[in-house]
Amino acid sequence: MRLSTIMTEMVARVILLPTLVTALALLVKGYTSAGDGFSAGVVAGTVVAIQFIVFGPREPIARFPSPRHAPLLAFGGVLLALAVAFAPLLWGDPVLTQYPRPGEPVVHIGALAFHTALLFDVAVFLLVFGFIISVLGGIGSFERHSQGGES
Amino acid sequence: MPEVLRVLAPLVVALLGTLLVAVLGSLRPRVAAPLAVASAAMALVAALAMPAGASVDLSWAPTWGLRLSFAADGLARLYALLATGIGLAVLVYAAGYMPRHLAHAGHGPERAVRLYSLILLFMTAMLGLVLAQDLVLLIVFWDLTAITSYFLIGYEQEEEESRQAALTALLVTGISAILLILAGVILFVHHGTASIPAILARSEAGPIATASGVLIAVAALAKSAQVPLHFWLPRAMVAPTPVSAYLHSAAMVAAGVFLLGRVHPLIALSPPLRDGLVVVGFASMAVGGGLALAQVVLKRLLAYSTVAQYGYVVVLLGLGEVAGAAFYILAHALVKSALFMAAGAVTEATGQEQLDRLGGLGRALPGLAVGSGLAAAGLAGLPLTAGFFKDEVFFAGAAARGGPIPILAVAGAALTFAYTWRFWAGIFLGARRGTVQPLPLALTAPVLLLGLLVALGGIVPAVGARLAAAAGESMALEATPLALAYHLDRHAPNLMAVTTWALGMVAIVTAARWARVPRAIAAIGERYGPDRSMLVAIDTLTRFSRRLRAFEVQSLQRRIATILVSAAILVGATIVLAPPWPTFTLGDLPASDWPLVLFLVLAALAGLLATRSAGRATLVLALSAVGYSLAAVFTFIGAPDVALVAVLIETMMTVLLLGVLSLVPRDVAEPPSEPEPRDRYRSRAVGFVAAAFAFVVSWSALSWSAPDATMASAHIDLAPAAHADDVVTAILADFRGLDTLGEITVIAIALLGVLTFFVSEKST
Amino acid sequence: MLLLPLAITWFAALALAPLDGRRRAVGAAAVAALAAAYLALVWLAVRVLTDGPVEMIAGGWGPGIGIRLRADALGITFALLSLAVLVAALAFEVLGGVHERSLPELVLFMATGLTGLFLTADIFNFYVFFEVAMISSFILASYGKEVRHLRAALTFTVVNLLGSVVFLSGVTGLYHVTGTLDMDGVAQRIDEAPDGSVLLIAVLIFVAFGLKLGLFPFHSWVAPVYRDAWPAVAAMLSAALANIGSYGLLRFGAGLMPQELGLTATGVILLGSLSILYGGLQAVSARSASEVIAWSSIGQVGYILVALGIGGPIGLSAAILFTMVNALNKLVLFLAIGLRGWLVGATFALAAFSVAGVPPSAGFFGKVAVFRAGEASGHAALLALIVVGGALSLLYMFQVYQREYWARPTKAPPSPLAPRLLVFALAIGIVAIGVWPEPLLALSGRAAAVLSGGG
Repeated sequence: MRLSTIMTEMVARVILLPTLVTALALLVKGYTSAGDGFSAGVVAGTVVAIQFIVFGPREPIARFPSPRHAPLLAFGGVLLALAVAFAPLLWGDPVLTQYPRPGEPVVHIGALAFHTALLFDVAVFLLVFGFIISVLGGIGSFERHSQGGES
Repeated sequence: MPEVLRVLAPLVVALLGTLLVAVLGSLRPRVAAPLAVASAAMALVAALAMPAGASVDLSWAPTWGLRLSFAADGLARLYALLATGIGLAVLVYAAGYMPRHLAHAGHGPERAVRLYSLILLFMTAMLGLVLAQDLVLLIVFWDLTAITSYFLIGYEQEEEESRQAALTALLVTGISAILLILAGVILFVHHGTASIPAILARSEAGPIATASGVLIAVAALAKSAQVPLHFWLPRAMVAPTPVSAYLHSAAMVAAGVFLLGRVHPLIALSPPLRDGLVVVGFASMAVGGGLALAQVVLKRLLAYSTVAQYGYVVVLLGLGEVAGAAFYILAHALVKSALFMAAGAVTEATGQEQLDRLGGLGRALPGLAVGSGLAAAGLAGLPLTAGFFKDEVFFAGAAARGGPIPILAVAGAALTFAYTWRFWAGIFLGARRGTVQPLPLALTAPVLLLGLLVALGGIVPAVGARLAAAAGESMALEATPLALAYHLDRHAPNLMAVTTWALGMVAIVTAARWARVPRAIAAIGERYGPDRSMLVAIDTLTRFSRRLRAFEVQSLQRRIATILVSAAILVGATIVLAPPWPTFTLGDLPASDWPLVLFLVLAALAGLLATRSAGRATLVLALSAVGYSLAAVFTFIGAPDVALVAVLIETMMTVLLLGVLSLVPRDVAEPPSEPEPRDRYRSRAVGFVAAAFAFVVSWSALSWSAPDATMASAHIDLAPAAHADDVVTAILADFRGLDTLGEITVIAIALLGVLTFFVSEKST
Repeated sequence: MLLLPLAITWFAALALAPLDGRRRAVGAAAVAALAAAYLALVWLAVRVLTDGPVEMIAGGWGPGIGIRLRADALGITFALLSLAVLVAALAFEVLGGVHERSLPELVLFMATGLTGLFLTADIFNFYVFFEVAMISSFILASYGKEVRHLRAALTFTVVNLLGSVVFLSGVTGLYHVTGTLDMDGVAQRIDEAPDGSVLLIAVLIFVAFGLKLGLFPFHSWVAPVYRDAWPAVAAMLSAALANIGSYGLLRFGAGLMPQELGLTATGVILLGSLSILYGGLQAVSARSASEVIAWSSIGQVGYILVALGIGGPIGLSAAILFTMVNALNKLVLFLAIGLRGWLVGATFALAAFSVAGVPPSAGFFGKVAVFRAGEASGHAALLALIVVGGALSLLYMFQVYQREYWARPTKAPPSPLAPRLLVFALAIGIVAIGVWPEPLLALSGRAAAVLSGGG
């Protein structure tokens, strides 16, 4: 599924970083305006997907963490979310209690609010991003495999 | 010894014996037979030691008020003695019989272990059945006897005939047992207890008593192989002889009449039912006796005789002669098991199992001839055997009732006389036929012993009479004295007995003239009888089932179609049949909503496009067009978060689907070939119905007014407390974070699935 | 406490997810985790049955805002049942050797989904856990990866996705008319809903769960899926996952919409009766053992529906009892047909007797409970139907038993002993329940009391 022309390669290179920054913004600003970990993950995943489509599966592997490790990213994300959700049980609060509790002050740095729900969002981001990369990696390896089978 | 143990000792011993024989026997086949005999002997001792009238009552299932209640009343003691005593005789016999029998068939002796173990399990079940005082408990043991019988009949699993016979027996006894369960439940629900004495005490004449009585009677009659459910018994003769001698003459078949006795007060409440029993009993006597005259295979002849003999008992029970019935059961059990074992021994010695290939064996097998001769005399009701008194109580009961009953009784007894002679004389008298191998003592001794017992019962009838009287008392719940002695006078039973013998002699002497008649009847029965009817019924059922299968859909599309259409029909039926009707209203459409409508129309058009099968890539694009249009709709109704996610998802999905399509070989990616016109119409019809269903449901849902206070409004109010300006995020991460957690787990699982597929692709 | 069983399987599933489940250690760890979760569940059950329901609202919010989780006797009964099935099926597969990398993890995920949905008191959260369980089952259904397994998985997935959509519409509808997702809230406000709306929603939800159960006329997926799926997977689908159907009907029908259930009781009983007859008749001519069991399962769920339609404490407890019994039967039967060798025939026969309701077996008490409900309802036709159903099951179970285990001497090499012993032990368990039924009777009674006693 390689789709490589000079034009597409250039566009793909150019959009990579800005899109990742956008994704990051979507992630951290989720609590104040539209966007959340899920959208951020999909955006980041899409731009990586574009790299795969344009350069074929091999080149991005050299530049990104290998798709082989992407499942770890995804499962790790869910584990993080699970940990955030269940940790309060350890000290007797209900599951998924977010800190600071309602009414308590929250530390802000610009749009970034330090709140455990943010960790939850990060987890979602990791999952979605890892998921997309893993699937792409899977398709890529399948492609390589089937081409190898034909030759 | 505590009373619990004294009552349950026979049961416990038999059960332990079952397990020991099964476990130790499979390790060392040689110990199985001695172990089984020892267990049976101990069970017999325990049964003899059972204290009269003692009982056990333990909690079992308090939620339903079920109790483990057992009582050693007269009926239970009589049957316990039969089950353990004849069981012991049969196991001794089996220890000699089975190794030889298996060797003939080319099997090793280890195959007998299962038989010994099952026989002991059957003994356990029988003991539990007769001791049980709780209806549910009784049913459990009732079916356990049917299960063990099933496995014993199907002992020669490789033989088609065995399998057929086992299945027939299972179906007849198993299905009739369902009726017993039903009767039990009816009584249980109406009387609020499963305790048999309590139920009997509370029962009053009426539809409940009649209905449950009839159901119980059907189950009992099927078990006792009464017409027209008798046909399983002759077939069951494919089982090894010890099984026939024990289960299918003395014990399991006797369980049916036992049950009739156990609930006798209930049955007595319904006079038509009692008359029905008399009719069935005489019918069984006629059919069983007649077919026994026609039968040449030894064991089958005896099986038909069993059918007829339990007919006597059923008549007695119908007449209310419970003590007499008990004595009859006792005498018949001794007689018939001896005859079965004799038949098996004869076959073992000569290799023949048909009457017309045997004869003149009296000299060669004297012990067997004497033992079975005594038993046969008992069966025919000759004086100085216990059998004389079994006939006497029968004649006495018949004479007391009057009408045509005494005549029928004499006719039936004469038939018995005739076929018994045919059986015994055919084997042991006349010209010698066939060669004879010597038999071990284990095959002869039990027959001789039982024969002597039959004779002893004729000389000292008081012992049996006492047992039977006690049994009768626990059936009728009042004293039923039974005095048996020889009277040399002209009272009715004596006259009837003499008439019977005379008629029997005439029949034997003139046998050659009428021998064809029973054979013709047997041939007719084989062609049109209940046995045949059941086969035909099963066959018809199977064919009907096949035809039904042809209606079942086979392709995935059709499967979905049936579900959609059924759902639509259900919804339609609900709307039409069940008030109140759902509301259907038309809202107004402000100008500001026009763009919304535009996108909805777009989505609908794209959806329609997707139904035209113009290739898979087109399909993907059409579907994503639907998605984008709907995402646009969300932006118009003020849900930017939802719209954002929707757009992103659509993009991702389209990319992935196209990517996958590019991997698929071209011929698979091609549009499917145009379906047959008939299929096309059908598909369109299904599509229309499904769409109508979705449309009606959505329209109705949109017409419903929503309540003012909703969870969502509470969420909006509380979002600041959750330190969030964006409500959607607060809902996702906080208020309903658990849902989010679940959904991301779903994605993780999907990833796991993807990995599974790719990994397995690589490895293959 | 409430969440411990859930947490154990959830964490374990994710922790094991990156690992290759074909390795013995991974399989053993998964079995251990599932067993630990089961113990936690038993502990929870003891508390619930002695002290009453245990509740928690996620996030520390008030009722109606956060998600309410609750363990009551009904939920805990179903959780105990389904998890027991999964422990047994997973242990069976691990003992016999796992063929694919994700099986143990997927079973853990399925356990998570099932536990979650039985322990939630929120209708949307129910749907979420439902999906967790479903998606695991979709992937599990393809286990084996031969063409027939894949075909079974495709059928199963497509049809059940359809069911999920219908169910989600029902949940949305409930939210629309009551404004809340909390089950207590829904139950309180449902009387104020617009005319006719709840009945329509009830039908949607009935369709969804009927499909899940494989009830006539939504049964078209059952036979091909159970016939073609891997035996242990078929066991999990039919004995654990299908419990969602009966639980859903009980919880949503008898629990949330009792009026609608009462209104449609005749229809429910009718569909149940049709299921009994249709499944039984089809099973008579089915060829392979798995096909017979598949058709039989369509008939068996009919009893659950009949009991549900009769309702009341007796009917509902009969429905619950029968669900439990049916799940155990299906578990043993499906596991047994994957095996060959000594003890397997006996195992199959014991479970077959249970299906036919022949004592001493768990199935006998299931049959008696349904009879009791039928007798309490006073319809003689219903009693006759149950008798006919029982007769059919006796016929088809033992026709196939004799064909599979008597007629053909086994030529295939016997399976490993460990799984055979496991399944035989399970079959003995069925008999043991028949000998001492009290725990099951008490549990089903308590569970039914949650619904009929205003729980």
